[in-house]
Amino acid sequence: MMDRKSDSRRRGGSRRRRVCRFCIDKNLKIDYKDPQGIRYFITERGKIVPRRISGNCAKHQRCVCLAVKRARNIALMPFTASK
Amino acid sequence: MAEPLPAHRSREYETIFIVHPETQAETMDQIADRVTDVISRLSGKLLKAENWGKRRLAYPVKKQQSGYYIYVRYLGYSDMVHEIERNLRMLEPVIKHISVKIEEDVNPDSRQVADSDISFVPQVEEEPEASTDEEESDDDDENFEDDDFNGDNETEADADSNTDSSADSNADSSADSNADSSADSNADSSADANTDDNADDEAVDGADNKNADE
Repeated sequence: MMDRKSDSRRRGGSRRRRVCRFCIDKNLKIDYKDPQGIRYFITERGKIVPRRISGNCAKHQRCVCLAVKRARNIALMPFTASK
Repeated sequence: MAEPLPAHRSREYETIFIVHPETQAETMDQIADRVTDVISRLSGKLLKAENWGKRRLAYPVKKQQSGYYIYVRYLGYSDMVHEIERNLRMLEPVIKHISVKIEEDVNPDSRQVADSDISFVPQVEEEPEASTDEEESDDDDENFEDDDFNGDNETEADADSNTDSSADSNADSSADSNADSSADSNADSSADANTDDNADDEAVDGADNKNADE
């Protein structure tokens, strides 16, 4: 029973479940004024990294998303980056 | 200064604005005076003022690649935000501004302001030449972080396979590699083909297990 369950789960590719770093470390702040801090959550092209990759929980992903968008508005972060 | 703020229900806002990079020092002072004047006129409380110095912009604004960032934090109401933004819009050298509400229901007496908190003079040395170097180092950081991503994934996948070792070990490893390669956009096609084969095997295995169970 257990084997079958885990097999089907694995085929979906959902194995790399990561834990939200902001839930683990309550002192970590998400601040749009600190572009270095949220740089981890954008791609090279300036897109926001999806939750399935970054491993954020829904709540903190919303915070990250808001921070990135604010930072973009004040030119601390690019909307797009052409490489 | 009109009547003082009520003991509570005041809000904390912060405003960042970017000043044109070729602005003279006197004009900067005028802008700073204007902002402090608006805050005191509407009986607010200036909590913090900072000049972040000349920074490179992430994208050109009004055809400028850089600008002076000025950060102000204050207590007040929405009318004050409107008034400050209206003033910033009127000031020619201000090329961009943003206001954010930080907190509601703040007691003005609970916020202590030191004289050192309010300064419109840049604390750090301005480094217009260093801005290009900074950009390069940023790129390095990004690459490094990407590596970090992959590293994390691998270690986690390994840990999982250890815990699952009671199950079929072959299927386990193939599933791991499959998941990793799908996540890694840089994986070359040959590796993909291999993992696909493995995935097929795994599917067959799973079907076999199902049959055996039933």
